[in-house]
Amino acid sequence: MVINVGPQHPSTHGVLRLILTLDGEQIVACEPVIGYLHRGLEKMMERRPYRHNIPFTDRLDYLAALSNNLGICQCIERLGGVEVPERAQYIRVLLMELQRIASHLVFLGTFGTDLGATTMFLYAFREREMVLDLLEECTGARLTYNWVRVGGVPDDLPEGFGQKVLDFAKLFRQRIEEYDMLLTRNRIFRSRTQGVGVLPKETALAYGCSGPVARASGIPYDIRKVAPYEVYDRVEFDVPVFEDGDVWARYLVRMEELRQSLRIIEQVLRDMPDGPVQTKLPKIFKPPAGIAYSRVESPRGELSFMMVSDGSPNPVRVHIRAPSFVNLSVLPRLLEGAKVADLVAILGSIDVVLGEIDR
Amino acid sequence: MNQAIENLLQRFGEAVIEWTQVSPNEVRLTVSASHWRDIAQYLHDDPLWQMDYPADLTVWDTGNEFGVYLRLWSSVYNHNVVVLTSISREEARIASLATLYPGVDWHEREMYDMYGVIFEGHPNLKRILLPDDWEGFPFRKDYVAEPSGNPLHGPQPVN
Repeated sequence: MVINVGPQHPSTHGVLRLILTLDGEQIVACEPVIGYLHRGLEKMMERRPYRHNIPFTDRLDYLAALSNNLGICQCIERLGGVEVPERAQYIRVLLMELQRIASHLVFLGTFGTDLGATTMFLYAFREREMVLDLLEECTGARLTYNWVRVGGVPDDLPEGFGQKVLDFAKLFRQRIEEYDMLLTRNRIFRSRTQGVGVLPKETALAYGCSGPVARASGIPYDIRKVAPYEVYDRVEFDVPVFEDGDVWARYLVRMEELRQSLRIIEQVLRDMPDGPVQTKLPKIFKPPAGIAYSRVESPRGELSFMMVSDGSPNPVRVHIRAPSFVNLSVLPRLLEGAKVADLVAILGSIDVVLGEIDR
Repeated sequence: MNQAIENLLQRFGEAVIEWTQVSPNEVRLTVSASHWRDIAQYLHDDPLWQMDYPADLTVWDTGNEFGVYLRLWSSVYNHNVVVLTSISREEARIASLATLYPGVDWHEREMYDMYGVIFEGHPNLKRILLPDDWEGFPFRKDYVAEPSGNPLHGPQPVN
């Protein structure tokens, strides 16, 4: 039997359509249909000067807009050989980790709801609201921040921001314990996730999976460690890696990353030097001809921008390697032989954002 | 990494047009399109390379030709390789790597969708982001983005 899931379906996290071939309760084949949100952003970027493209990236992965801002800015910086002041690098890392917490909290909330644990949604969004308040105070926006600039960040942190972040970190450590009580030690939650949707290490490698999906399958692939950018090589943190590759492991990776993000935030606030936050750049920015790429560990995995320049003010090509796009391509393999009832758990554990899949 | 590069140059000779070592663990190769698949296979299989992770694949249009960009990572050595080549705009054909690296399957479909590049040997080369009946390849530099070329239509029957 063939059944259609989506594109308007509450558990597909956006406009994803799946064509499932079933044999009774078992999924025999799955064909994801994407492109409902395709806006041709890459082509639009070719027609604008380099720095005008930063707001577009907010609309890629809209749950982690800052990571996308950073990705494109790093790519332009590499293309033009732009140096970033040290303080700006620290501010960037601080904001990236706050963003990671906010994004993982959306995952926790929606994933809990997907599995019927509705309370988790209320808890996770309560804390996410606090992160968004912090980010709003700094950037002026709650979702589409457009805050990172080529050569730094547009402005310094507001007064007293560091203390507010530290207060939040202190409170959030306790809140993570509450999540553990609600989900991690919940027997129903465990039996719905353990051993479900197993992604073997070889498959994850061959498909180019990244982020928590890869790390849950035993691949220690974290761009912050394998190719450190900004000041990630100066802070201490662990990369959680689990071997099982099931939905449970992907959940655990994200839970552990919340704690590691707090560690990074506290170190960054401790070590942040004073100084300028932006490099002066010419009004008309023309990087030399060439090809450059950047890699950023977004909450969903390896986000990579690749740009081709011919020396003119506009890029010849902007390519976005969206982590969700690649992670979703492994879904048919994951669903082969799975039960229909596990579909939502497996899809939710990949944590896709359709904005960056369709671009 | 030096030994690995030396072996590669010896094995493929003229097919590697240019190479630069960007950093201690990254090398950028410009290769001839006719050896695209062979070089990828070599990088994948050779014990000194073991580029087992397909990170990225894309195409760009310079107006005269298409450039192809492939980025690989090795989980064993933490090495990065960027492989570049160029193909003619009229032919727009290159060997597919989808059977070697399942991860580039969707990237190749997307590039077919946007540029009309035929990846020879791809198991399922069809449009991925645009509707199946879309006319033209919108990321080509000479594409005319007129709404009349692809008028809006009502809902399509489900399979």
